[in-house]
Amino acid sequence: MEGKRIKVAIPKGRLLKDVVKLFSSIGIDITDTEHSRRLVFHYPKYDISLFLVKPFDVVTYVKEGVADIGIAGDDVIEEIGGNIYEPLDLGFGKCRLVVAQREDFVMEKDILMLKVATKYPRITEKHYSKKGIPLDIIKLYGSVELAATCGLAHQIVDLVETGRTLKENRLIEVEKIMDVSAKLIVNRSSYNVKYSPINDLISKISSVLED
Amino acid sequence: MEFLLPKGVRIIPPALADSRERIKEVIASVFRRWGFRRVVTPTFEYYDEVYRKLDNWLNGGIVKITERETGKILVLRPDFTPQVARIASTIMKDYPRPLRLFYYGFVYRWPLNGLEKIEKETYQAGLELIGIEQPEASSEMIAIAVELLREFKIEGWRIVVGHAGFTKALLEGLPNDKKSIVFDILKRKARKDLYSLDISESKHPDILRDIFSYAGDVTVLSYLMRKVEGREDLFPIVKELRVIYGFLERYGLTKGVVFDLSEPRGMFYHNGFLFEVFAEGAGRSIAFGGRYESLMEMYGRKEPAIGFGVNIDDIMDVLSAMKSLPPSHGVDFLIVDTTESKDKGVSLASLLRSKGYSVARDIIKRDINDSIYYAKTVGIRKVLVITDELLVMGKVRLVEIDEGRDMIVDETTFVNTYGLGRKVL
Repeated sequence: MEGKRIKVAIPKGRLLKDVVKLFSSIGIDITDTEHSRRLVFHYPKYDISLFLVKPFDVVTYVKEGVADIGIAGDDVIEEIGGNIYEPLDLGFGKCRLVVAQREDFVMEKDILMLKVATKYPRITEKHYSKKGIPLDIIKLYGSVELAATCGLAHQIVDLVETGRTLKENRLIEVEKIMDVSAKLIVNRSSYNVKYSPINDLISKISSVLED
Repeated sequence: MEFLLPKGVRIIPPALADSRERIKEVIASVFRRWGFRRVVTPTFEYYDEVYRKLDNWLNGGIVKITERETGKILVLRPDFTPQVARIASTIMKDYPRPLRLFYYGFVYRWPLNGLEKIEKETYQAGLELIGIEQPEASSEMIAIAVELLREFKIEGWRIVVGHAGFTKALLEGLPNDKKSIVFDILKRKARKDLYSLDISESKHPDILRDIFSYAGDVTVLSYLMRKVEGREDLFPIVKELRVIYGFLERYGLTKGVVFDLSEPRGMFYHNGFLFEVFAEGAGRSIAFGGRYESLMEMYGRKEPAIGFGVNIDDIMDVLSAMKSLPPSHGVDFLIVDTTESKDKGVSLASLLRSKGYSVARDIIKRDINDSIYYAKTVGIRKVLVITDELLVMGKVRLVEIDEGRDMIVDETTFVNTYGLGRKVL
């Protein structure tokens, strides 16, 4: 219903600092999210509630309509997928999703099965499907670089911000799959049912982004 | 032994199953009220040209099996609209127009790449109006949808109106790969992606550039009408939407109706007016429909057609969020007869049933309090207890669970109360 509270799913971790900054730039103080173990935060003053979730889960909360809007990177949006709106590029959390391998790895012409380790099995499958290489995707939950270093996989698909982690693990980037930045995502039903408050919020954020 | 259920199917216990059937009945009665008549369509069909196209559009989402006697591929009904379109253009082709047909039942689809909803079996109801090209047919669709929302006392809804021809006309002139990029951008409302793309080859780059601003109330149409004046492909579309809205103004049904001309969603066969209904409590649209002349053409009969469908389980989600699911029918009486012959229990049960009450007999020998507890737990409203001791005095015991009453009454009083007139619903 119009004028009702907006429920926002925001990602813990790497992006949280920028999210807090973004909200403060439109006059909404959510600094307590950084120093608490709570998962739900109510701000009756601003008519919003926040859910603090893992970055990978933001899209799920939004596409199911449990949260009206959320903040997620393109990597997660692409991996989880869903029928959602992405009206704003927030400009922070910039990095890229790449294919990397050991410096000394040479792909044989008639490789039997290419082993690729990643947190993004769907994007990986889609990316390699264009190449027609027989593929074994190894789904990992973290420290993906290690998989290439220690020989669990020939290649990895992972996020790279500066490239330092790759370098320190003697890996090289061989291909970029996509550029990533944080997006404001909106559930389609909420977008329409809570049209005014959500669009007000979008224009407020959009005006500070342009500055 | 494991008792796993496949993901995406439902088992519905009695109370909820009642609610669901009641919801379906309300929808069907609204459709009937508007002059629509039910058609029944088969659960399987051959995997023909239309389904091949649909399957492609659903990324292989159609559930297929083979027919034993011919080896041909069959589909489990993925969508009612093609079935009704085929009925209209084949066995009902000589019926006078317009045809007003409705349906309800299950549709089956594999989840779209795991992206969309996970249901494989969905309970739908919908209607099709065939043979009217006038814009008022579209207004009628919206009016019926509004009546459904009112019937269920759903508030805070929005009906978003668009047009499949509008976005299509804007993409005209772009090379195919760019068309699909823009289409994807429109679906995501990714403004920045659109601004950073060269769309100068579009036939209408000026409109496409600002497409996301053509969403909102009816003033969007007035503004756009001036802007596209003289453009033969766009002007009639905007004008048609304005005419549709004009009828809604006359019906007094404009509240909650908005426009979004940037919305490219629709089934592959939609080629004109489109609308979606959103309500709080369901994370996706609860009703969806539009014009689909192109589908009629595929079945060899070019004629105007329009319709929409409702996902009954989504309506259930909304009503359940509102805490206003239709109540279960429950059971009216449990008859506990402890006499040897059971004659009285059997005859009172059949009397009550003949008057329209639902009556279950206890049959099991157990303590009377256990019987009352059983009735309470499974949703039986009244317990009628018959014993030899009571019968001698011409009495029965009546326990009214909801009212918390437990009394001994004359059998004749009981019969006069329940056994004379029909049950009042």
